Amino acid sequence: MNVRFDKIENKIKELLASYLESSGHPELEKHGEITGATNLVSDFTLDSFQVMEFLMEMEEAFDIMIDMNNLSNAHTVNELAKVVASLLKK
Amino acid sequence: MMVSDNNSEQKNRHLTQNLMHPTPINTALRVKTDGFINLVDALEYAAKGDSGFNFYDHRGDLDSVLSYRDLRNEAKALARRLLGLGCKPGDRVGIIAETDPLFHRFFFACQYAGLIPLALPAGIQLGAHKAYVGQIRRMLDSSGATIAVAPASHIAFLEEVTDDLDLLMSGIPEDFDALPDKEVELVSPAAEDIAYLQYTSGSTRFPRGVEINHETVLNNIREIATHAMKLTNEDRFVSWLPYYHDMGLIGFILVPLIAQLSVDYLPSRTFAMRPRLWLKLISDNRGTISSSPTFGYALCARRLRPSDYERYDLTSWRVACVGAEQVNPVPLKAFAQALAPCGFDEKAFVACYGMAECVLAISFAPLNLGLSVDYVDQDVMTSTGEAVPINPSATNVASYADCGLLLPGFEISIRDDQGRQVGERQCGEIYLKGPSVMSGYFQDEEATLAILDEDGWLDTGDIGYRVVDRIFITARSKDVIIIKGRNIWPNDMEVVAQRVEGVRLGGVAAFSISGFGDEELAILVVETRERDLDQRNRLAHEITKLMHEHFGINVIIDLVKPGTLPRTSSGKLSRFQSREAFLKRQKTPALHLPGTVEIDRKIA
Repeated sequence: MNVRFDKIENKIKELLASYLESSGHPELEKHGEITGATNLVSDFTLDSFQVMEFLMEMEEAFDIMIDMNNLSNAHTVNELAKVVASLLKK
Repeated sequence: MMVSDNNSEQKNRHLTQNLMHPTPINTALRVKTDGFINLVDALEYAAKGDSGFNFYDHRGDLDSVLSYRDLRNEAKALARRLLGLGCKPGDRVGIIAETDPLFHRFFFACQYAGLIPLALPAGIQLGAHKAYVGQIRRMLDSSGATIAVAPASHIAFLEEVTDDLDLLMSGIPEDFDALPDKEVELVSPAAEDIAYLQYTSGSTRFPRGVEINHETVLNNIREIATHAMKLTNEDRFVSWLPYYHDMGLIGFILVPLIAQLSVDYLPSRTFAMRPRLWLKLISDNRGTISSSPTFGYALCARRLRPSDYERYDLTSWRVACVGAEQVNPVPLKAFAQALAPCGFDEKAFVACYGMAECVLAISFAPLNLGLSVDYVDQDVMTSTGEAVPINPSATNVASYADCGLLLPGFEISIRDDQGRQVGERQCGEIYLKGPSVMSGYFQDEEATLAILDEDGWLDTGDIGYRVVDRIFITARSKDVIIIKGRNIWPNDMEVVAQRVEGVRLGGVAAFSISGFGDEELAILVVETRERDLDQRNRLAHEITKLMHEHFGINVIIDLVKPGTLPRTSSGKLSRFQSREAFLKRQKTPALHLPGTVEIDRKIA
């Protein structure tokens, strides 16, 4: 993993933490620190519309367009970061 | 069709993007909704005008235009290609229903060719690759489809399933366009031929395809267009609803087409990410008709910014239907208040009630009156099922939206559990009869007989009461759980949950309860022998994950000892009693093991 990838992953962690806070999801305290292995779907009670809302914030932060179909295999922060990295490369 | 992507052939054939304009409102044709024998007739008439479908992209920019005239020509050419390929009348065609002109082209090619289209879901959840592919496979398999088509964005998913299905052909639209255009005669469908299948489930083993013929769909649409919405030449539709739901397919493809009116589409996914683009589109194009389940209005209201109030002009929006799930007045009021400065008039809200088994709509509130709410005594309602009016500020109040008047073709009968007709203000099960009722579930006699009797009465499964000629729905279906416009069969959730190791087979009950504010909450009560805390946590975690992948919803999981779930004398699990028992348990604080829920903060 190179420095750039770590940066992407860290940014996603930050975005997720702030999204959870702003959308009133108290599980963050229970869950503890967000790591690369944090599962976006099952570690929090985000419904599909909240996931979309969070992805939009990611799109804006990275200035990319995320195709939902690319994300059908992404469960964790780390997997999400890989998708973002590949989009930024293009 | 005009497109702005890199499809050079079509680009050369048509105008380029900077010259692209959305189709106008219908100024050329007299609005006509009667006298059509089938959907082909209706399109042939609409093709004489200038109106049609407009597709906007994820930024809210116009991406492609498909006038009714172009749709007619392209659908006929495609119909000849499909028949030339060897398709036989009545063959099923699965279309991945992305918000894209390909859906309209294939849907109408089927009408010209006498084939039966079915819309396949296009929405994919995060990390839900396997669940999505399984769903597509089951629907293609259950319908016995011979053709499947997907947009380029979804073709990889489709390819995963087509290998072991016996299809004549599958691919992207361009693959079909490359087929030879054979000299085949197109035969106009008969009124009683099946026009489409609408799958109401497909998450697990039991997909059911509602079968609707031309006469039935045209009847319901005519009643919606003339009786309920009173459409005129000035009307323009705007929608983000997915085409694989009846509200999107019927309400925003077929209703406007049959009335020769233009429609502007926003992809459903774009709405979920940027709901304010919905308002922008209505404002820019002077949309008059746009609908949503309650949650869509709530989502939009939550994302408004102060600067929006100067930006949007919503004065043109005259019909804002609310349906598909329980009409909840509280978030709707918040939406109306927030957007009043933009000229949104809360009188535009029209509560409606419907289901795919009746094409789309059963009842509509009268126009220009807004929501009307009935306040009744909750305690009396629970004990006797009677809706006794009460002061709205009383502590034991329950409120229900007036879902309006039946469309003229329907007969209604509200019955008690002995099958006897009940009186006014008495809750019972709603039965319907009339020319908009489906002929049955496709190739599923057992499921059809369970819901449709020989006299043509449809058991809706919904519970409600009447006040004079108005209908109030108190519970949507004894079976279906409706969350954010999505219909979920408890049985599907129970089957999926039982895949998790440690869950007792047959020991899962799914139901919903009213939660805090606008939310319906899905509850899964799960029997397990597991006592180890880590194992209980793992169990709850895995079930949560599966529910997300398959249904895209949050579920509250209550782990209980084997034997806790109530059963009927025949040993069948009772969801109703499971729900009552769950609510009672919540009131008695017990030892909270992990996986045992504390939901006080969520229950209103």
